[in-house]
Amino acid sequence: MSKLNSNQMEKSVRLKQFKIKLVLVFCGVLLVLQQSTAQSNPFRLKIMSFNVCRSGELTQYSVIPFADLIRQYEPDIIALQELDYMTSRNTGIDFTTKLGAELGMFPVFGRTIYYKGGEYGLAVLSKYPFLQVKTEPLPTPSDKEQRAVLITEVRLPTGQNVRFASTHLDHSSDAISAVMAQAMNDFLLKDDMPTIVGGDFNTRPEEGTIANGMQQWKRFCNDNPTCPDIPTKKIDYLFGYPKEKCSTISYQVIEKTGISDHCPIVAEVEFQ
Amino acid sequence: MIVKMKKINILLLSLIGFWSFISCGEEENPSPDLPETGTNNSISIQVYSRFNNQKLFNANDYAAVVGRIRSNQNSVVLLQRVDATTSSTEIKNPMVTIAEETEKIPLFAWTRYADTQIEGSGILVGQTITEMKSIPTSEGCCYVSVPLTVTGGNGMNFSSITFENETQLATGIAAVKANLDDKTVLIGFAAKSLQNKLKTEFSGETYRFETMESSGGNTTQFLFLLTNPKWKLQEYKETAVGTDGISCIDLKIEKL
Repeated sequence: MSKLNSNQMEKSVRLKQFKIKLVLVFCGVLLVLQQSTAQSNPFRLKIMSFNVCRSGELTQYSVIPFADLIRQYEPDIIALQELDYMTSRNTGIDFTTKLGAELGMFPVFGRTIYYKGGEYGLAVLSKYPFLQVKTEPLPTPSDKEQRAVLITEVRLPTGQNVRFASTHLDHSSDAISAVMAQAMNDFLLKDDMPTIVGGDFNTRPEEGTIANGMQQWKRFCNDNPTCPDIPTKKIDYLFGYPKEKCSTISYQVIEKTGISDHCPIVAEVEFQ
Repeated sequence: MIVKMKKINILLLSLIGFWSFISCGEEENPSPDLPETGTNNSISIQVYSRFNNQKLFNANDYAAVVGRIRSNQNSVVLLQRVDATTSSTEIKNPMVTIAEETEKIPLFAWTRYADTQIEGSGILVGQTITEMKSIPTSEGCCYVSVPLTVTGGNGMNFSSITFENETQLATGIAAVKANLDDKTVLIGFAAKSLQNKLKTEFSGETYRFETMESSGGNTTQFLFLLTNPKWKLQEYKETAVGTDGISCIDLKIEKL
């Protein structure tokens, strides 16, 4: 009798375990379905790229003029270049976090080099939280300044994830920056996740780095000059991937800001 | 005969000396399986929470928390449920404000969107990072990990996760176990009803699992520390911060 009971109990426990597993599998399938449905919905983003000129040298290293300007254009995500983290040059401030705090945006800094008692590099600011962050050094000749790409993955309120990167390539030759662009592509073009890269590429549209190296990307910007403040040459860019799944809704070069030797560029883009 | 005896004595003395020498060596270099405490590899972590999965700040007054962070040396500060709030005109992001005021680097461990709220916890560190990864494991549950360099140049993968229910636990545990290594220091929160299950999951010699409950009223969660046996909890102290029900837990953890 007791053996029968214990067999029945065992069966009941196994059934319960089976039911729990079934519910878990169902939940997992739902999560995957929800994610894949979210990923396939079209979405729009307002994005910006801005080289802030030696971490705000023209604003005496104050973030306020940058915050005021950015606020006017309400970008969702921003790629920034030339930022200091606690260097003697910028009076020991963390420019990225200060700017993030002014705007209420999530900030992340990516070091490219140690510099003047602190660090110097790239940043991304986002209205939405980061799921992943990684700074990847780019191949750089030993006599040149080390360059990098700061790669983030941002979780949007719509459930989609978007990869967003900021970079600043070498300025000395097209051959060097082309190698950097190739390495950057290897880091960024690994799957079909909607991907954006913005930055100061230090190369003109007709040069190999852009004309050949960025061929797989949709260029969100036009060829209008972006540098210096009253611009004469085009070296700042915003690109999207997969090329056939994204488009530019609007694009603008913001000239004569008086706070940098580059113009910020801003685009509204759509991913299918 | 006497010469022979002398030789035997010398041999015996040499053997005793050699044995003592080996024994001394063993004491000075303890086996890695039996690590000793007091190795001066302690790190301090501060955790702010209400222990009930409610958002940390109901108003824009962060002064008490900022003051306490500033007055202590910590490798990591964890702010549980330091949600950001968005509106058509502005974003309120207390984690970034506190980071700016305490000169820390802010990292947000996202868990979910809820209307205008971006729910998650804040991790504040005193160094720039090169990497952070978050793994959403189920609705409202996300495992986050960030590699840091701490006292003595040691590497630490600071990690966090919050479990509110059994579904989150079932899927989240796999992520926790898959990412746990010698460098992992995981500080998590869980509903009190999940305490026994978590203890069972992390029993055995592979893990060091400690739980801590708040002495305050109206709490529904407990805090847990999960590492492998190469880390040890040295101290744990709870202090009320301000008058609004926020607790600060000071943890001292040692790398053995």
